[in-house]
Amino acid sequence: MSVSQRPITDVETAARRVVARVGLPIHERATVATLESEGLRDADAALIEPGCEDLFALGRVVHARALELCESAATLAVPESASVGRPSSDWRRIMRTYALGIGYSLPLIALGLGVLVFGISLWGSPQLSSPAKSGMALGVLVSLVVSGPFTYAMTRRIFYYWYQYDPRALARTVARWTIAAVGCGALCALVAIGWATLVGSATGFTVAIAAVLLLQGPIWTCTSTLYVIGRAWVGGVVLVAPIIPLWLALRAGATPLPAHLIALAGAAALLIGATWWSLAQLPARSGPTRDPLPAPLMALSVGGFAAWGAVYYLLLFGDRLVAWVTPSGAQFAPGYETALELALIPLVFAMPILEFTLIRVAEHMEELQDAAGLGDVERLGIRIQAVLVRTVGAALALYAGLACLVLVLARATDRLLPDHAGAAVQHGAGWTALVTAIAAYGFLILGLGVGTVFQLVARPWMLVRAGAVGVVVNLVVGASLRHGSGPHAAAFGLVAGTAAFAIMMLVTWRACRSKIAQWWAAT
Amino acid sequence: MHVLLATEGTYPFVDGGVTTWCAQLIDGLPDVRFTVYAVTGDVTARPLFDVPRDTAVVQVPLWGVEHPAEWGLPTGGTLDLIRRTRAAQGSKAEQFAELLTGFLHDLDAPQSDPVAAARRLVALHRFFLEYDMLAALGSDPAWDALLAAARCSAWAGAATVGDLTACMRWLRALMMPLAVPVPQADLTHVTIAGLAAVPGIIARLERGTPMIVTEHGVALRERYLAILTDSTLSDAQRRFMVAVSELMTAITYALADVVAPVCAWNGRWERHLGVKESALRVIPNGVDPAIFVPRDKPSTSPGADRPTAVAAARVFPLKDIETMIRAAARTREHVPDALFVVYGSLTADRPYAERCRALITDLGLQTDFLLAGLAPEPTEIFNQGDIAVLSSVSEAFPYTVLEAMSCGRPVAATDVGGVSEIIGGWGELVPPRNPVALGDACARLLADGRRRGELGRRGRERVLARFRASTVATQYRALYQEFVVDREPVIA
Repeated sequence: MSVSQRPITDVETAARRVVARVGLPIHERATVATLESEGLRDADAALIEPGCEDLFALGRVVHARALELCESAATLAVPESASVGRPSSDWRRIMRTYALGIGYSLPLIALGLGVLVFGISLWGSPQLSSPAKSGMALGVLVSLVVSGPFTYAMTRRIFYYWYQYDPRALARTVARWTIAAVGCGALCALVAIGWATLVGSATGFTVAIAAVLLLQGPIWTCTSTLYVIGRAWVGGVVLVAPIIPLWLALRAGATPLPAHLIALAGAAALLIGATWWSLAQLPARSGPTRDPLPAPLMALSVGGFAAWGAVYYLLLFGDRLVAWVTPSGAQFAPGYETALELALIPLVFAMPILEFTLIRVAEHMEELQDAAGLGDVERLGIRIQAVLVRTVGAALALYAGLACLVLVLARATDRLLPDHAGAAVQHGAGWTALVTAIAAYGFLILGLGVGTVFQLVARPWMLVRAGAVGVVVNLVVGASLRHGSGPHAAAFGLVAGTAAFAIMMLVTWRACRSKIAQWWAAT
Repeated sequence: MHVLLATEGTYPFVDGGVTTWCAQLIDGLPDVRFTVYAVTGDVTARPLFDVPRDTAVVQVPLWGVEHPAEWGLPTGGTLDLIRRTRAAQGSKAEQFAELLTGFLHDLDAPQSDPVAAARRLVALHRFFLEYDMLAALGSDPAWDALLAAARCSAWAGAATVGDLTACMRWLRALMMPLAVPVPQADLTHVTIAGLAAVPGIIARLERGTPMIVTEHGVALRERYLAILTDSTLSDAQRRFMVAVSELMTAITYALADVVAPVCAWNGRWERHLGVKESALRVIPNGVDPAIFVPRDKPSTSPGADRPTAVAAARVFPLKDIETMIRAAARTREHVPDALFVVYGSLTADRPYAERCRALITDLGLQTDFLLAGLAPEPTEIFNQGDIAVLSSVSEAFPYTVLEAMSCGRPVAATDVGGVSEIIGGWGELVPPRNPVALGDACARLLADGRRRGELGRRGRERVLARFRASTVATQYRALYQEFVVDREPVIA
């Protein structure tokens, strides 16, 4: 506003002032409101040509002139460049997103680092007895499947609070879901003890699986929390740190199983402490904390994501259960495990690209929507598909490159893993399992990449449905083939399951892509 | 007598004039039981102060709501929610789409048949009590209905898919009051012709509960100004929001038994928008003259030994503090030691407050114009100065002017809304956005002690005669009693 602003004495000045204040006034009453805010009263309306009864009458005249002014301005306006404001998809952004995404895999990376540097991890070492190895490995897998729903449900909730800048609600949610995960882990531990006692499993197996089930829940929930709040590195450090004293203890001749369990308990405690410390560092919100959702609503709100958590881990690790669990009990299959862990390496390093898929699809959705007329609404999905193809293609390309490297190295040397464990996958069934698993994880990336869209539009049940088909195929095919061929055959179940999942996701996408704008609007 | 007092963005969650009015009304009518139906913007809004013990508060937040069931919709647990959701997306989706289509067509011609539009709102309300609102809005037929309406509606114009998305997301917020049960009461008193009127509309049609509307500002007029100056909205989005406001206003006025503006100025708008003369009753705001008592300037006040103009205003654009700052510079030309002090929140619009600070510095007014923040004793604000200033570009019947006059301080004010009705000749009125006129008016008052004293005395007399809070409460009680009779529901 200006001190020297000219008083309104004619319709032209009035119309120009209205346009300057509000642009296109939309309705003549809006013009009246604007004129009033300029200080005009009914009495003034009579003094301005053509002399109106009141401001509402003057508003009609001024409004008509304001529309003319807007129309002529629109004719003269230079169209904006289409590229204005479009975020670039440069490599720096990809790398930044990739670095953030890799944080989610830090427990697995910590495991890998421990194995490569020290020849041990928190969850296994050559010194462990076979039953203890089986117990720990099975415990980790079962805990992933059991804690998966808690982790996914919690992650969904804390992402919500994170974007609402509500750290206290976030901390409260983490506490609740972590306690729930611990409780569920304890229950599973009790069941495992009961089952192991019933079938007469070795004590080492029972103690290992029960302890891992008890301790692993908070490790998953805290890792997810640190990832969401951008402190994944804290989780990585905390998970690697206890490996050093464990390594020293084992070298000094400590009893392996207790040493591992103490290290694991230490890691869990450190992780919980680090998570709490990180949450406490978040800047406090100025407003009040949001109340928790009532229980019936919570079930409705996170049910799909919890189900996806369970299905996802079953799809990813169902083959191991097939390979290990036999009618005579659980038996760790080290050769098969070696193949699968090697296959995981390219998967772990390729998955963060899918974070970028999520971001780019969301950005593109906004861009395309703002440019698309109503006639294009159903074609929006096809346009989004181009982004999907590019970003998922990048993830698959990275995966393929890393996978080839792993295959070449695995074939060339048995020193890829400590203690010549690589020999198990150089030839024969181990090699076949490795190649099959690598193909399987490629399908998984494809399916998950397409699935990011459904995560984005909060349609988790689409993923659950496709994933459930994959799990069933995985278990049925794996169990059928394993029956006569040994644990390595479980990999065929994995590849069949992930392929089924990928196909289901592609079919679902094709069927639903025309609705993507609608679903985006509903989120 | 049980009154449902419906507020929007005010009592008891946000401070301001309407909140003061609500508190006065509830305190002034101890024999009336109030239930406050408070529409709030943010889901995390919490009451600013304790409401009287027998006053219930039903909060209906519009934004950040994950599900209406969070806010009082009775459910039979998760299975019941699943049933509601599945039905809303399945067997009942077409039924909802039909209702939504009706609502969207009403947006096209808000004034054509507001009562029929109100019936459609009630039908939507009934639907949402039985089936899930979010699921219904997210269903395929609902999207198709929005798309179809947009293709032929005036509000959609050259809408993009992005505009449609924005509209769908707004619908989720705007329909929240329709998804919440309406408390039983003998009468609904609505404080704005907007979303807060929804419980009144529903109660009017379903139970025959009378509805009184007291508008402090004219909601539609303020919505026009707010929506049209929001540069983040596209043209189609503006048209949609304006259409919703016009529809809600039309329905509210059509079903109100009485529209009671706080000033005659507002009555012009309401008459223009179709309210019958017989349904219009002006009931002004009031103050408690025993609380706002004239006192000498305390020796501790910032302007104890200087001619001082005091304002009570949140520092944000509608109060046009920039004009007041420029007016201060003008006043200084005539009264060199004049001091201006503004008491009020500096956080309502932080960038604007920063602009004001920069302007103070630019004009060299650092020691002559103080943005003092919230006053420690709000009832003593005007006793800290010699005169009061109001520079707003839009007001209804501002309490600050009443309070200043009650404290015996003459007012230099912009001639907006019902300000002239309060002052009635016992102060200075100037056009808005005119710092020269405002500065000169302040200078005249500050320089002439005798005239100042006379205007202050007359102003307080005027408040005592016309604008006592107790008198206002009595007028509302009489209005309530006039309408609280047994009525049959209008629709079965």
